[in-house]
Parts: sequence; C-alpha cells; structure tokens
Amino acid sequence: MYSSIPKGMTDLTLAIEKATNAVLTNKYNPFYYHGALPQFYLWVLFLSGLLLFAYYIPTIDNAYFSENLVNAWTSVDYITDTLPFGAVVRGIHRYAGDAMVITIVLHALRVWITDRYRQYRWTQWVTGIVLLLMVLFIGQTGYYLVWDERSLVLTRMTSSALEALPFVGPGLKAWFLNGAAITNLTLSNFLFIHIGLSFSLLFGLWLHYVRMTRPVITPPPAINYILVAVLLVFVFLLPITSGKMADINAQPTSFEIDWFFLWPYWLLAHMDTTMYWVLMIGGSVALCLVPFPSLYKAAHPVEAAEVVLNKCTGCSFCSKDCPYQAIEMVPAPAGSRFKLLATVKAYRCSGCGVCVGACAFDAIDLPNLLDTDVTAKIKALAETK
Amino acid sequence: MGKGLNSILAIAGGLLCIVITLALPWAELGMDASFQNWPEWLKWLSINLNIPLPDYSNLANYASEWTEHLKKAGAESRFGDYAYALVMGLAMIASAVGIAAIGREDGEEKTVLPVKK
Repeated sequence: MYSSIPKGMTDLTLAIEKATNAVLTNKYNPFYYHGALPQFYLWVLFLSGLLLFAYYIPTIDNAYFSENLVNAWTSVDYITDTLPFGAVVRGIHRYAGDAMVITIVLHALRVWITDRYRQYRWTQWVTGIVLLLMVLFIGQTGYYLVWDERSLVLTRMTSSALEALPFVGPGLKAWFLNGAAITNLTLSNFLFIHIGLSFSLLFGLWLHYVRMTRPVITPPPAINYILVAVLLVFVFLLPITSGKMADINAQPTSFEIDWFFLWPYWLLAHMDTTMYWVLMIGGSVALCLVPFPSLYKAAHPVEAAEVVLNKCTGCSFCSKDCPYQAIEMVPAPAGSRFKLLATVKAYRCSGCGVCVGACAFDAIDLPNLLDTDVTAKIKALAETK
Repeated sequence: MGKGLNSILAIAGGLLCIVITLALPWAELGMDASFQNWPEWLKWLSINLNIPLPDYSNLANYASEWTEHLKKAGAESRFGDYAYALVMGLAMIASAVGIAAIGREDGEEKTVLPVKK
C-alpha cells in the first residue's frame, strides 16, 4: 500500500515533466533543478539580508517613552519608507523566504514521490528535514525583528511555549529572551539567532550534499531570472508593511498570519501547549524516520553493483562517475598487475548502473541486470525502431 | 520557424526592450520624471551649467492606478521604487523567455546509443 502511493504519483510527475520538456526542453525544465531552487533563494536572502542589516537597529529602546524614537521598529520603518529601494529589498527578503519554504517543500515532495529518499539517500532526507526546520525557525525570528505588535505576540507565545517544556523549559526561555524578560538584549539575541543560524545552514547544506558527487546547485540563468522576477512582481503586488510599534505594556491579541512561517503559532493558539509540543516534536521525528527500513523493506530492494576482480584495472573511472560516492579505490592485493582496485560500498549504492557504463573493461556489473543483457535490450529496441 | 516569423519576433522583442528601457527610469523617478525627482547631480548640472532637463510631469497620470493600488496595499511612500520593481520583474521575465527561446535548440535532448568499448 505504502509503496503504491509514490508509484502512482511518480507516473504523474514523470508525465508532467515530459510535458514541460516538450515546451521548455530539458535544459530549462525546473523539475530538474528542484534542489537548486531553494539554494538560489538562500543566496538572495543572504544578499538582501546583508543590505537590511546595514540599517537595522536591534533594540526596543523603551521607545514609547522616548521623544526621538530609534529602535528596531523605527529602523525598519526608515528602511521601508525613506531609504531608496529599501522597501523593495525588504520585500525581496520577505518573499524570498516564503519562496524558499515553498521550493523546499516541493523539493521534498518530488524526492519522496520519485522514491529517492531512502537507503543510500537517507542522509540527504534527514539533513533536508533538519534544514527545513531550521529555515522555518530562522524565518520566524525574522518576524520578531520587525518589532511590531505581531512580533511582541509571537515573542510572548514562544517564550511561554518554551517555558512549558519539562526540565529544559526555563533554560530555553532564558536563552530565547536573553534574560528573564524582554529587554534590548532580547532583540540582539533575535538578530544573532536570525543571522547565526542562517550561516549554519551552510554547514547543513554541506551535510546534505556530502554523499553526492555532482549535486545540481545552480539553476540556469533563465530560471534564475524567473525566480527573481517572481519576487519583484510580488513586491509590487503585495507591498510589505509593518504593524503598529510593539508596546510591552500593551496586550495585542491578533495579527496577520503568514502561513508559510507562522502556522505553528496558529496551532499553538488553538491547542494545549503539551499537545502542541507532542505534535511538533513527534511530527519532526516522524518525518526524519520516513526512510526507516521497515517502511520500504518490501518496496524495491536495490542490489549493489559488483566488481569483477580479475578484470578491474584500477583506472578509477567508475569511482569518478558514481553520483553517490559508493565506489572507493583501494590498494590492489599483492601480486596484482595494477595499483588500485575498485570496491563498492553496498549501503551507498543505488544500483543506477552509471559505473557499468563508465567501465571500459566489463569489470563492474549489476547482479540483476548484466551488462550483456542491457546491450542486448538496447540493440533489440534500436532494431525495432 | 519561418524567416518572416523570426523577423516579427525580433521586432517585437526590440520594441519591448525600448518600452522597458523607458519605463525603468520613469518608474525610478517617481513615475513622472518631473524635474524635482531627477538625481541631485543632474539637477546641479542643469542649474549650474544651464542644461535643460526634460520635465515629464504630465506622465504622472499614467501611474495613478498603480499608486492607488500601492496605497491600498499599505505602502506609504516611494511608490516609484515599487513600480521599478514591477517593471524590472517584467523585464527579467521577458529576458528569461528570450534566453530560453535562443537556448532551446541546445537544450533538446539528443539520444546517443551506448556502445561498449
């Protein structure tokens, strides 16, 4: 049952891909760059964030007592209404965040639908889930930084939710607020988390790519243009604005919700805190366990490639071509004419057959799909056509 | 595609480039290009060297609907910046279509039968 769901959706996805190819050709088909799209938006976020950072002031500064207000909210207001193209850069930053979440979810869905998340790819799946959670949290801290009424409500809701956690709750709350209550240091902490965690995404991405020899991380220019153009059009259609300045002495109760980042707060507002944490932590762990063996045991077992020892010359072509770094070149045994010998790490092998095509000496084969059988099938197909 | 159709598309693309080229500074200068919105250094040159700068403030009415939309959406000022973003976005979409149309031929999949050495 479980394996049949992705199978039907795989067929549908492939049909859509084929139709897209007919219009755009495979060179400009976004389906082939689904992993690179969120990464492109990450660079957009870094660049636009750098520009915003230059004018942002991370302080609440008791602004409501001051004559000349200089705090986080007024700095965001200055960026939006006074700074040349400040509103555009702010809009780009905000919509690039939304677009990143959308493209990550679409990327994960396609990976799941096309059955590319398990066995040798479990590392990519688990790191991908962690990266998604990090992106969601980073995005939420971006909403705190504006320091309008919504920021205040979100900050209070988060600190209450963290405090409710057993054992670590009070410590987490103190870490989150950078003290016992909301102060200027709280905003500094939010900025640190927002930027610091953003850079740690790069480490997460390294883990995400570490087992792939040639990950596609850059879409072609035409797709990049479209990705940025979409942001610019949205900046005009739905300009980004702030709410009223936060007032710690007031109790704002409602705010506009951004469903891409703030849906956990909707859940938090509509359920018991314990239930919320059970759902969030349980859901995250469940997502990480999707590639767990018992779920796919019966689906499509992969038989790893095998090296024909007496034919291998140690040329390392197969190792260089393997997309999953599943072939390691080791010193050849004593008495061999050659220096190296290819060995297959079965747990990383996807049985894709790239190594079979790379080998000029028939020295590597898929046990259930021999080289000679494949050649015979291709010849038969060519003759039929 | 026929040669005639290619020529028509090339002319249409050229006209689009001209429109976008004119619309970008128009949007950037507050969607009217009146004298007061020209960059400071240009205004200085105009005043001190007596170089006349064109005043297109009569074009402001073309942007009234855009401005109205932005005000309703909550934007408070610098409406020209938003308009610039829109025009730039449309320019990038047109560029992407152009690049994809030119690069389409290279992108077509070529079938190569694998032959064992």
